[in-house]
Formats: sequence, C-alpha cells, structure tokens
Amino acid sequence: VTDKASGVSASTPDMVGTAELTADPGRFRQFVILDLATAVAGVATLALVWVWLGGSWLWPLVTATAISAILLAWSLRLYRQGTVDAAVLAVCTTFWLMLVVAPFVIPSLFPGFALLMVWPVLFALPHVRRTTVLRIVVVTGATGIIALLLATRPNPPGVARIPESLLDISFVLVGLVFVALSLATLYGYSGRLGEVVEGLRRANEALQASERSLEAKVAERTAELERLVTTTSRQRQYVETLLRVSPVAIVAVDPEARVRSWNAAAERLFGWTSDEALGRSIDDLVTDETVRAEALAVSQRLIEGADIQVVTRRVRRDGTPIDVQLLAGPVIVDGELVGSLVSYADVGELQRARMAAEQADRTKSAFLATMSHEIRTPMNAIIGMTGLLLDTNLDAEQREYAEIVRGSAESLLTIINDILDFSKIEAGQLDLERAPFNLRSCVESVLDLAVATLDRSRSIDVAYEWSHDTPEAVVGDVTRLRQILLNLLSNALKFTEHGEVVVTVDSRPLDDGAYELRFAVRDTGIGISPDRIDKLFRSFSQLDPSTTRKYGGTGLGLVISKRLAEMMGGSMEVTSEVGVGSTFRFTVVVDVADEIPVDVRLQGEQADLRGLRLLVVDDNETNRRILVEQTEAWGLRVHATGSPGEAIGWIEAGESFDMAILDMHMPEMDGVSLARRIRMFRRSEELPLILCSSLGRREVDVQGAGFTAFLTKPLKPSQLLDTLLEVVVRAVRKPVAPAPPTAASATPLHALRVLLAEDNAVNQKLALRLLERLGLRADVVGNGREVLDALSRRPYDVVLMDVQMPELDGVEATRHIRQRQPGENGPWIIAMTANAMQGDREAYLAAGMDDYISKPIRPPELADALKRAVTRGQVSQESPQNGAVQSPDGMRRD
Amino acid sequence: VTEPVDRDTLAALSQATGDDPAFLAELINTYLAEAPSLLAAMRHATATGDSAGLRREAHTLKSSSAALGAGRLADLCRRLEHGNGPPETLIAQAEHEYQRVRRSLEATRTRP
Repeated sequence: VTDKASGVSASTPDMVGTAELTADPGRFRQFVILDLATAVAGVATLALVWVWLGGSWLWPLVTATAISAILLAWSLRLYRQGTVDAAVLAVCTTFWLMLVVAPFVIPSLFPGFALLMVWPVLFALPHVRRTTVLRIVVVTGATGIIALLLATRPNPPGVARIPESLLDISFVLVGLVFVALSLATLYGYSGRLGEVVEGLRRANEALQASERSLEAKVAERTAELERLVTTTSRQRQYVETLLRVSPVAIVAVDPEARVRSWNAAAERLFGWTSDEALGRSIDDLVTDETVRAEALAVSQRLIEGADIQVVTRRVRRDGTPIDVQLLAGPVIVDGELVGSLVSYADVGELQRARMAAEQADRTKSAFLATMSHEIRTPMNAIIGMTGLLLDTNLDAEQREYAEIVRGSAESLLTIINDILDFSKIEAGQLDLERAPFNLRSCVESVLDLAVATLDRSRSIDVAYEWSHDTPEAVVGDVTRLRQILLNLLSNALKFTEHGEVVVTVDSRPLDDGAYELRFAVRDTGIGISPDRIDKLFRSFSQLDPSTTRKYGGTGLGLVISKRLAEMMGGSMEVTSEVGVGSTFRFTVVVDVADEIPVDVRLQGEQADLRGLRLLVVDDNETNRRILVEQTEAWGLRVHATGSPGEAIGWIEAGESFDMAILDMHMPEMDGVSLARRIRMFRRSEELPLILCSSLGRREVDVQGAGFTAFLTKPLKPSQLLDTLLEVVVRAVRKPVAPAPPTAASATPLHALRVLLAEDNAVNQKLALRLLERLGLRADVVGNGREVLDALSRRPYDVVLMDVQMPELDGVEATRHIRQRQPGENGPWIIAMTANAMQGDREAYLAAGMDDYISKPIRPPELADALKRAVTRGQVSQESPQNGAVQSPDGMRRD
Repeated sequence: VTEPVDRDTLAALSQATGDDPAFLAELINTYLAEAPSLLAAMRHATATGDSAGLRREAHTLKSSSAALGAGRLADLCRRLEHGNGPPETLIAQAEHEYQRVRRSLEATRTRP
C-alpha cells in the first residue's frame, strides 16, 4: 500500500497531505534540518546582539547573509520537490535574517522588510501544516520584536541612525503585520484552512473513491477475464464432451486420411482406442481387403471436397464386418481443406429391420397374390358356370337371377382385378411387356369390345379417327394399352347417355426414333366439375359415393390407367365441363416395330377408287367428318350431308353418284327408309348403297332396301376400304365362271412337293390325312425356323403354312423365304389360319404369301388351293368359291 | 343345351378323312392327350401374366377344337386368344367345356 500511495502522491505533488509528510522519514529529516537552520539563525541573531552590545558587527552580518542565501536556495529546491512546508520555512527564515540585518545596512527599507514578512505567511498558509504556520507566526513575531529593540538602541559607531519617524511607522507596521498574521492564522483555521482541509479531505476521499473504483475495475476486469477463461474452457470441455458422449462414432481425419480425432463411440464401434487410432490411416484402420477399395474411393472423394452419405460396410479390429451409415464432409477453414469429419452409425439393426420389413412386404405381396388367386378361382368358376347355366333352358325368372349372379360376380372380379393391379403397381411389381403388336388392331378390338357391351337402349354414336402417319406396328405392352383404352372407353360409354364418344389416335415422332402415341377419348357425357377433376386420379376416389352407387366401380380404374400410361413413358390428363362432356387424353411412348408389316395400303390414293363420286349421309358431324376426310384421302369425290332430305334432293336433281354410305340411325329418316326412297330413283347397279350402323344393331329389317354392303360403327379405315373396294369390284366386274385349269400347264397334283408347317398335333394329323387323300405326301415341320431349315435342304413346290407358330411365325417365315428366293423360284405359300380378319389377310399377302385357306381345313378348299398352286395363280383371277380370299388386285404379289 | 361337339362337323371330318374310325379315334386321342396340358399351360400363363404364352396356347387349342367341331370351346379359346374378356373366367369356362367335349368325344370314339 505504501508503494502505491507514494506512486500516486508523486504524480500529484500539489495534493500533498499532512499525514503523508509526517509519515515520511525522509521528509521528517528535512524538518529536523529546518529546525536546525532556525536554531542557527537564532544563534546568528544572538551573535548580532553580541556585536551590537560591543563586539564587531561584520562577522554576524556575513554569517547571517550566507546562511540566508543557502536557506533560500535550499527552500527553492524543496519547493520544487513539492515539500511546501520546508520551502516556506526556508523563505521565512531568509526574510527574518534580512529583517534583523536590514536596519543596519539600509535603515530606510526597514518598514518594507517588515511588510515583506507577511507575504510568505499569506502565500504559504493554504499549503502548509498547522505547526509550520504557528512556527512562522511565533518566529516572525519574535524577529520583529528583536528588530525593533535593535532599532531603538543607539547605533554602533559608523552606522546610520534610523530616523525617528520611520521607526514609529515600523513599529506600527510590525504591529499590523503581527495582527495580520494572527488574524490570518485565525482565519486560516476557521475558514480558509478549513476549506483547505475539507478540500484535502475531499481530495483524499476522491482519491480513495478513485482507488476503490480502480480496484473495482481491476476486479471486474479480472473477473471478466476469469469468466472468459472459464467459459472458453467450459465450451471446449462441452464440445469435447459432446464428441465423447456422441452415440455415433465421429472421426476427424486430415487430408492424408490420417486420424486426428477418435471419439469414444468410435472406440466402441471399431475396437481401437483413441491412442491407437490417432495418426493412423483411416483406410487401413477400419477396412479389410473386401472394402478397402471402396474406402479409398470415399477418402478420395473427401479430398476432392465432396459430401458423402453412404450405407456401407467397415471392419472392426477383430475382423468382424459391420454395416455402417457413413456420413462425411470436408472441413474447410479459411478456404483451406484441413481434413474431413466422418461419422459412422451402426445400421446393422436397421438393415436387419429393413430386411425383416422387406420380408414382411414380400410375404404380404405373396399373400395378396395368393389370396387374389384363391378368390379369383372360385369367382371364375361362378362366372363360368353361370355363363353355362345361361346357355341352358331357363325360364324368365331363373334367367334373371342367373344374369344377376353373373353381373355381380363380374363386378366383383373387376374390383378384385383392379385392387390386384393397383397393389402390383404400388409395389412396383408390375412389369411391362415389350413385344411387337399391331396398334390399329389393338385399338379396333377395344372399340369392338366396348361397343359390343354397350347398352343398346342408349343412342350413342361411337366414332374412331386414326391419323395416317401413326405407326401401326409398334413395340410395347399391348395388354396394358388395351387396359387403358378399354377403361377410358368404358367410362366414356358409362357416363354418356346420348351423343357421341370419339376415339382419336395420332402420334408424334420423338428424337430417338421412338413415337409418342396420343390417344383421346372424348364423350358428351355428364362431365366432371373442376373441383373433382383433381381427385380423379387419386386412389379410391370416384366422383362421389352417389356416383359409385349409380355407376359402380372402385374408382381405381383411372388411377391404374394413369399409372400405366406413366409407366409407358407417357401421361394422362382430362378436360371436362359439367353437362357438356369430358375428354381424357393420354400418351405412351413406343418403338416402331419393323417385324410387323406396316399396312401402307390405307395410305394415299386408291387407284380403284380415284375419282369415284361418293354420297355420305350421316347426321353425326364427327362421323361425317371422319368419313369425308378418310374417303377424300383415298381419292374419292365426296358429297356429304347430315340431312336425308337433302340427299334425296340431290338425287332427284340428277346428281350422279357411284356409291352411297347411309347412316342407319338418323332422327329425320333412318337409313333403311332413305335407301328405299333412293331406290325409287336408282337401281342397285346404278347406285350401290352401304348401310352404316352400330354393332349389335343388325336386327333391323333391311330387306327390300337393296344394300350392297354393311359397315359397323365405329368405322375402321381398313374395314371401310375393304367395303368400298368390294362394292366397286362387284359393280365393275361381271361375275365370270371359273375357268378350268388348263391341263397342259398343270403339274399333276400328286407331283407337288408339299411342306406342311403346323405345330398343332391334331391339325397336323388332319392335314396330312387330307393331303394323303388327295394323293400327296407331305413333310411336316413344327415352326417357321424348321420351315427355313427344310427349304434349305430341298426344294418344295408348296408350303402349307400355319400362321401362328412358336419360334418363328408363318408371316415371318414367309418374309424370310421371299428374301432368300425372290420371284418365281420360291415355293407357293398357302397360309392356314383361323384369323379371318381382313387386315390380317392383307398382312399375309404383304409378307409374300400366295394364298390362304381357313381353318379348320375343309377338303374342297384345300384341294382348290392346291390346284391354284399347280397353275401358279393362273386361276386366282376369279374369286374362290368359298370366298375365303378376296383381294381386288389379285392374289399374287411377286 | 347345345352339343359340346358338333356332330355335323365331326361327320364331315370323318367323311373327309375317308370314314376311317381308326384315324378318327387317333385324332381324338391326340386331341384328348394334348388339350389338358394346353389348358394347364393357359392357366399357368394367366397366373404368371404371360400374355404371349396365353395367346399361343389358346390359339393351339382353338385350332384343334375347331377342327373336331368343339365350337363352343374353340370360341372360348378364340376369346382368350384375342383378350376378349377376363382370362380367368374364360379359362374356367374352357376347362368346364373341355370336360363336356371330352365326354362327348370319348363317347364318339367308343361308338364308331
């Protein structure tokens, strides 16, 4: 404390306090010296007195002057050092000496010196100690009295006498000085000095307060510092604790993949202690040869700054593998990669749980599949048996009950199938087939099926529009495409009371050679309100419960359809307006198949039809437009009207037509009545009529109307073309009697070398038997591949080719044969098939087949076909009697 | 109730093949040997979702059945081949129908 106090006082010399001065031994010594000096002055004064009484005055004078000079100099020094009391005393002492001496030197200045005595007292009073003041007052008084006593004495010889008047004034002045000093002293004690003391006290208090404040500040800073230190340390401890107690193994590595930090969980997980692990390469520590490459790859990626999240395998110290989820990220400080932080979570339990869950899921799926199979088997038995029951003789009531049973069972089966499909899709277990198929056949068969099941009481027109540039032979899943189309079409028909349902198909080539097929099913049904459209494609949300009650269904059909479309690379959307109708559009992406011949027949102008005048009468605008577009594309000149009256007007006016297509169901006048009216003006030969009606409406009485041909709606281009050509051919070509084969050109039938390609044992046997009865022996093969092999071994004149065979079907085999042996050198190929569809026949011919017989094989048909083979098509100019093959432009296509 | 096997077709077949009871019996035997495995294959194809397989097997049975005059069975197979209806139902019907066809053909065979 002493040091500090001295330090502070040194810096503030004006504020020196009494307590401190007396307490300082050094300063105390100065006072001793001062008092000593005063004593010396006293001695000097006594010496002067001695001189005055008779001795010489010179020595005391010199001594006093020297002492006073020394004291003055010393007092200045003391003052500079801040020792005010000493300085004041020194000054006073000087003046006292001068006051004593002065009358002897310059008697006239004596009063001045007396006054001068006041100054140091007044000057020093606020700054000096009480004892000092008293000392000054006492000594000054004594000095004054001595000086006056000296002055009143007769001067020594040679010294000027102080004038009487001045002496009187000096007495007065000395008295005044003394009084002044006394008053000043009193004043100093009562007022000024009190203030000074008070000031000092306050200064001291201020100092102490300052010290306290300083100490407080220091304490505060110290505490703060301690707190800071504590906090930092605590935080560090906290973070370290976090790492330590983390249930996840956390490892920090440097850029060389050496371990820098290894927490307790890591110790537990891998079996290495922190001390063992630090500094070693992580890729050596927790791997074995099975996973090292993968671990190195992870480290490499970390060095490259990648974040890593992977479930992988690592190895414990004892060599046992563990499944871990590894999460890692680079640690970048100030832009520099200083390593990576890697965490390993043991996911063995999770893996096991997942495997258990997957197992459970598989079990569930298997259960579902089994259950659905188990349910479907009896369901099918119920439906099948009810179907058979309905074929028996039942009375009306029994029939009704049986119908209800079948209907309900079919609904139930549909629901079960939907649910199974849906769960398969949800489980990702639905695999799409990729096989070539004929798109047009697919769409048309769906139309047939949907229309066939249509409630006949409703008057709905079903139209079908096929864009010409749409590829027909495509690769995809025909079953699922059918499912979507059938679903949309059934819905459209279900929700449409009257009006029309139009199916359009077009396509768009994609960059990669694939095609996007675009389907639209538009109806004029009840429509869907906007707020329900959103729900349409969600699971189990048919429009509303009332809809379900009225129309049935799970509401899954659309969801499944949409999902199927998406699985086929497309999408599905719907636009609808309540009361106006809905349009469902969907797309799928398919590849174009090169294995199925694209039917180019329907494209472009038809030589046999070009320029012919066609009358179209159909009240349905869509149908009419499709008819007109299609037939004009073939080169026909078309007059179309929606009004039978107008059509009759044209005919009455003498317009000439080569043929006419009449719609059956028209509000003004039906097709049959219109035909009868037309027949009043034109005979059948003059104007062949074609009646166009919906499927399942054949029961109308068409007798007497003289129709040449019939079309069923929805109209299919191939069917339309075939019908038109048939009508033209019939009209143009007069029936001729079949010319008997010319014997000269004929190879004897029994000389034909026949190859029978048939995979079905029954048909094989049958065909062989029939050939045998015609005197022919044939070689037999079971598929198209074997046909090619057989032909490469030896030549055949005729190949009886079953169309549908495993390995390589008849059409494909034929194409191969024609490629190998073009022109007349190849065998005569006769297709055998039960597929009597028009489009199929065209496909066979396009593939290079020469003739066609239907199955089951009838002997005369077989014989005729073989005879045609003998003459190599020379008799094929006429229609075969059985009518199985009919192609207007001839059978042979070389 | 319609006959499972059309007598006229069978008669025509018999006549076309030379009224040979032995051949007819052989043909029927071939058919009866082949049909059950085809039906089984069809059921299997349906269960496994092998639509191509189903089409093929149905086509074969359709062909054979039509040849022997089993019109209804052939028709069921045709519908199966072309996907005209739920396959399971059709197979159930076909299996039932086949039993009738078999009984009928067996009767024919033993009663030439």
